[in-house]
Amino acid sequence: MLDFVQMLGHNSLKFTRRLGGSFCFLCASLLRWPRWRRSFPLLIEQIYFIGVYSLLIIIISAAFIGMVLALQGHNTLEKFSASSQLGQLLALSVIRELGPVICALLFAGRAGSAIAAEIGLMQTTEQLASMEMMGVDPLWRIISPRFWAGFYVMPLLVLIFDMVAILGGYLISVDWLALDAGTFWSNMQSSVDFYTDVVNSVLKGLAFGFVVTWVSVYQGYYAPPNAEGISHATTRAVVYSSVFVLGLDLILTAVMLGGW
Amino acid sequence: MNQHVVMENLYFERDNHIIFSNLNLKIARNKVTAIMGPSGSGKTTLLKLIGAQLYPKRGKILFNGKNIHHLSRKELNNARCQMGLLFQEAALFTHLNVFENVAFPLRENSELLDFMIRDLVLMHLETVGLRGTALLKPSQLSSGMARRVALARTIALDPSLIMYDEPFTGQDPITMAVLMRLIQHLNRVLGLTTVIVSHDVQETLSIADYVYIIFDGKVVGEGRPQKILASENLAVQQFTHGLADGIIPFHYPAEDYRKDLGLADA
Ligand SMILES: Nc1ncnc2c1ncn2[C@@H]1O[C@H](COP(=O)(O)OP(=O)(O)OP(=O)(O)O)[C@@H](O)[C@H]1O
Ligand SMILES: [Mg+2]
Repeated sequence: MLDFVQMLGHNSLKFTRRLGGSFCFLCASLLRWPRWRRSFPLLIEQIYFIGVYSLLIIIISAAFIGMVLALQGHNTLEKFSASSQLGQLLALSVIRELGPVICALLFAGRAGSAIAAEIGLMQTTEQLASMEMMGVDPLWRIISPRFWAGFYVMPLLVLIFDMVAILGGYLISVDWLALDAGTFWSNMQSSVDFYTDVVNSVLKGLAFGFVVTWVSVYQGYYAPPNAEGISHATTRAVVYSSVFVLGLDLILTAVMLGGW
Repeated sequence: MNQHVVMENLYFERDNHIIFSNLNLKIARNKVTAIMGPSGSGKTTLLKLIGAQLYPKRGKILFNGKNIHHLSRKELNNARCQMGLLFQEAALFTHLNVFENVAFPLRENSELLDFMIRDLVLMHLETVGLRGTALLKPSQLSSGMARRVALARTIALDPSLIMYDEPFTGQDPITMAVLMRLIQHLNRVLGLTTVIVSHDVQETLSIADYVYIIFDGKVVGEGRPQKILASENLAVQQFTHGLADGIIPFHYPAEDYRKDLGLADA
């Protein structure tokens, strides 16, 4: 029993220390004097790597999810002869929840793991240390562009996801289930609010992008310098950021529905 | 000012394992200083302390007369540009090719135009004899070549101090000779203060002006190579002659062996 309490205390202390450490790490990499002329190309490069490479998987997943949602929604709504509301159902669930959350999970799997592995490898092979010895700060040169890129890219990916998912749902509803296109769109239009739905979706995207890149970058940077360390860091980057995203989603949804 | 780097009463520990207990060491300007010691004695750690990648618990390291661990970030970056550290593994940037690797410090730290950078990089690559590899990726190089590219990258910023961490390990005799000549060349022609960390006794002693032997957190022997070879000190003798038995243990400190195996008499 005492052992258990001790272990609990030990682990929570360890967790708190990690949290504090990662916060300091975050501040250290973000609170830099920006050198625009040098930073900007680095940022663009990372946006390309992180964003464009995640684009394909996000578009494909969005299309499938939109289609499945339309099929399932139609199946249920039909029982209440409310299938005209399908557009509304589709848009609200995608824009409010599925878009940001699934996008963040895919982003963690695609970009987060890549970031963690890349930085972990650079740390292990002393590339970051030798960069430091050349008077170049790795936090500024390597970490911060990846971080900002994730932050900027996620909202855009979420918007793309939302659009593609709705289009996928539209294809199924109108072309396959033969619903009326006009009803589909007009019901959707009258129920989706720009501020409470679309803007919140983008805000969630920003928050999730922040969390996923933070976790991935931190895990990579502090990976133990060996192959096992990197593989653990990659796994942890994906697992932790997924869990954090889902937890954060609950909080954000509560705040947003709470009439904020 | 004749001393490039001075270490005074350095104390450093890692995970409660004392690595340096009271280390005093001076590195003379424009000379080749060798630091030798058995594996695990903290030679790499020492270089990282000089580069301020690690911070000592007590004691200080003066670089050009200034305490390197008390500099502001900007001053530290400037100081680091004046010192080159060649890591044990070459630590080339894997996502860049050889040319870009050597160009990296120039691009980051200077405002030179592209054509000047190109010329400088090609000159440095020529110095290490690898101009022909400019377009290869680091993964396409052998480890000896990678180390020479790393050398070219390190001298790109014209440092006044260059530190080599085990430059000879795993090199064939020819590369070894080439590297030694290169190190000497850089020292004599460019006047670079050179620090070599190594346990290749013969090679190192042949090019060093001054030698330190560290063991157990302290300097146990120092002097010109001839003096070191003639030293009476047991640890120094054991090290320079490569004797298996002596006061330098082969084993990392551990619990009593018999007890560990469960053989201890009750
Ligand atoms: N990251 C680390 N964390 C904890 N202890 C470390 C770490 N790196 C090295 N050490 C310890 O520091 C001591 C000195 O290590 P160092 O790498 O400086 O030795 P070295 O003299 O360079 O050895 P070698 O000749 O084998 O390269 C070792 O006992 C090692 O256990
Ligand atoms: Mg070493």
